[in-house]
Amino acid sequence: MQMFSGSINSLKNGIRLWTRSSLKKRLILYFLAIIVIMTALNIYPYYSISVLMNRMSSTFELNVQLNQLNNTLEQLNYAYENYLETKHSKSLDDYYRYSNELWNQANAIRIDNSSMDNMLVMKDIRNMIDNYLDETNAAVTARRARMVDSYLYHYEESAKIHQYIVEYIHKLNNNMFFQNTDRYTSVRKSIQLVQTFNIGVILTIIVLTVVLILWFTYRITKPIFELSRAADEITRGNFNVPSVLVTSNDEIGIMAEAFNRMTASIREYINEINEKVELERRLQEKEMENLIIRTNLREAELHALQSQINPHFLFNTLNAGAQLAMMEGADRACSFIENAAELFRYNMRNLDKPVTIGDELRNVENYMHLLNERFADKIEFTLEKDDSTLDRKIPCMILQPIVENAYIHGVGDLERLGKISLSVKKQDGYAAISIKDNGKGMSRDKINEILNGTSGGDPANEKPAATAGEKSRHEGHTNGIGLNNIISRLKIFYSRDDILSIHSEPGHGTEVVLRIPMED
Amino acid sequence: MRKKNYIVLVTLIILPILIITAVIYYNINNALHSLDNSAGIVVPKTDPKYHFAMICENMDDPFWLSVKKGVQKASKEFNVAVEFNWPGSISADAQYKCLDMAIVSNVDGIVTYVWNEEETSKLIDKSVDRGIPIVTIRTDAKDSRRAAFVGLNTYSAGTEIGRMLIEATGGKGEAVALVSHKEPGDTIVQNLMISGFTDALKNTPELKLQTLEYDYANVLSLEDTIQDLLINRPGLDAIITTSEKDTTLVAQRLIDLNKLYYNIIGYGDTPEILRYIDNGVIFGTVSANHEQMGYEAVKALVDLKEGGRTSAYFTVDIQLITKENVAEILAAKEEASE
Repeated sequence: MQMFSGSINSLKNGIRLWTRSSLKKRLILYFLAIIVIMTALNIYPYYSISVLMNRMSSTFELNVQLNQLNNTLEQLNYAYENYLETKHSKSLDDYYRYSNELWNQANAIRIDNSSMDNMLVMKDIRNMIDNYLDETNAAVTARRARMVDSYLYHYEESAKIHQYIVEYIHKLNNNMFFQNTDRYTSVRKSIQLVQTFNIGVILTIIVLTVVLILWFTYRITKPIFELSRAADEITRGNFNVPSVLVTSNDEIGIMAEAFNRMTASIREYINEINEKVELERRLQEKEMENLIIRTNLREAELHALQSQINPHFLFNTLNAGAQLAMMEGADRACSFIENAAELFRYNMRNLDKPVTIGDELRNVENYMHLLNERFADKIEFTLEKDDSTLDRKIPCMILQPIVENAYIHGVGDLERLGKISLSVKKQDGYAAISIKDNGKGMSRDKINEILNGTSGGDPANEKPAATAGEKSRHEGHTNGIGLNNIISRLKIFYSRDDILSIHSEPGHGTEVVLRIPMED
Repeated sequence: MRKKNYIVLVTLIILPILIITAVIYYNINNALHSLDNSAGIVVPKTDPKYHFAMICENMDDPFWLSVKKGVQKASKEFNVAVEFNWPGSISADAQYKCLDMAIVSNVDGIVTYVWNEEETSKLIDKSVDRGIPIVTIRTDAKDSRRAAFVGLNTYSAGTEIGRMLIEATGGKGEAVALVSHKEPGDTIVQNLMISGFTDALKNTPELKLQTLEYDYANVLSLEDTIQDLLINRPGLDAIITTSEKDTTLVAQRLIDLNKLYYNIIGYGDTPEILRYIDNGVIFGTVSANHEQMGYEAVKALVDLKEGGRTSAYFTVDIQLITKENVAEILAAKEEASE
């Protein structure tokens, strides 16, 4: 059982070795196969020829033995006849010696079973020699005993048998000779066949070998060539070479695989680098844009600065004009210019800094003073104020724009006398500031639009020609501050949105109420 | 996948080479072995139990060839070797020598034909003295100490030929029996056969039969005899021959001369004779199973060796062949040869 599993294991190993056959192994196997075929081809004719030679030589040996037998027989016969004629004792010695020799030789000849008939003929010969020796012995005995009749009879018999023996030896010799020649001719035919066959096989093997060599070299060199071409491509900078396809799993296959892995990783690496470069380029572009924007900004600021006349200069100029008017005794002109200067100064304030309600009221008074000087008899302005509320903080430039709106949109176009009244009262912990006019008034929708900031907060929209109003949006305004700006600033400042409310009806004037909480 | 292809390819190359090599090797070995058989000795495949000798007249006569076939069959069956000896020339000396050699060789048994009763009997007795049993074949030496005789009933063969002659001629006309004037041999057979004819023709006095002798040793002699016959005997109706060889020769001669209006009645069943019967050249023949003779002779010797006794007289059946049954016999022969 163990042996069995062991052999299975070794078989598996062998198969694995074979399937993982490397170039070296394959070449070795191939050469071994050729050597085996060649050896088989050469051993075979060698073997057949050697068998034939053995046969032939054994036959020739037999021939030699038979000839010796024949010679001995002749010598024996000579001695025998000589004795019968002369009764010479030497001849008798010879006779015994040769008859012994003949007997031994006859028994020494062995023919193997493979040629039955030769064996039988040899047996015949042996038996004849037996009979012959019997007859000659009888003849010799009779001669010694001088029994003439008997000796003549036996002599005649022995002479006949002698003749038969010679004939049989010849027959056997002949037989073997013909058998040999037949054997030779037939084997020669076969050997010729073998030779032709061998030549055919050798030619086939040569052709096969050439084909195999070509195939092998092609299979070995093709992938190498492809690899080198791919390597050239990479050298020239083209990393997108298609992977080299090598199906064999020998050393070349392993090399090609490694090469493919290498190209793939190089490609990956290069791609990574490219991505990084791209990213950096984009970053630089962005920075450049930013720089351009900043430069533009500075330039705009510069332009803005350039386009402004220094307000202090204007303010000082106006003050100088007021003093000049006072010295010349023009009191109205003096106060007008003073009010204008005051308005300028207030307008120059930083919008982010809160002021008191009193400051705001003073500013409104200045503004109204200028308006009264311009439209003396058209507008009547009244102001009521509760002094306890004057110190309350309020965002800057809130009241003046509302009053300006009331003037421009409310009463500016009226034929009759326009009235604008401003009152500041303390009411339930609030400072209620009311700006009221007797102008055109607004519809409910309009009020909602203004409060929700959807109309751009511009009461000019009340005008029938809205497009014209858009263009002349700030016409007649002292600054660019609209109602929605005011609403949003109040909302931010007090963190609540119920500060400003508008009460109005078309034809019955408008009242804007600000409820400023007295406590923070 | 590729590896598998590779293995298959190599196997496909090596396999045919090995197969062809094996076939050639087998052929050479066969040639080396089969050649050791010579025509002179019939041997079985295995080691033979006995070694017999067979003395026959010659090895050209279809009769002896048929006998040899029977001997081969027996050789296989009883596992014995049989050595064939025949005289190189037809002389009493050569025939004597053949038999004597077999006796001196101390073979286990001898089958011989009898060429001369007196001379052969002497040798037979000498052989039996030495303990070698002898069976005679075809011709017999009744007064010798031969153990058995195997042959056909020559007399009844003669009467059958006589009957066929009456059938062929309608009991009228002239007929000639060609008898070879041989050195001692066949006269015994022929005499028996002739007495058979004459006995058969006793009741038909209108049919005249004459016996013509010719010199067997001389081939031209028979031709001359036929030539003479055709010229000198214009009223001839039928020609009778007593051996296969003569029958074939006469038929061929008559075909050569384009004289096919004679009734030839002969002996034998060789393919050639059968063809002549089929063609109508030969009217009919009498034949016996010669193979059986060879077989029985060997069997008798084996029986003698193993059981010490055998029946003293074997005859084989006589068969009449005419145009009516020739097709059957031809078919049977073909079957047997396959």
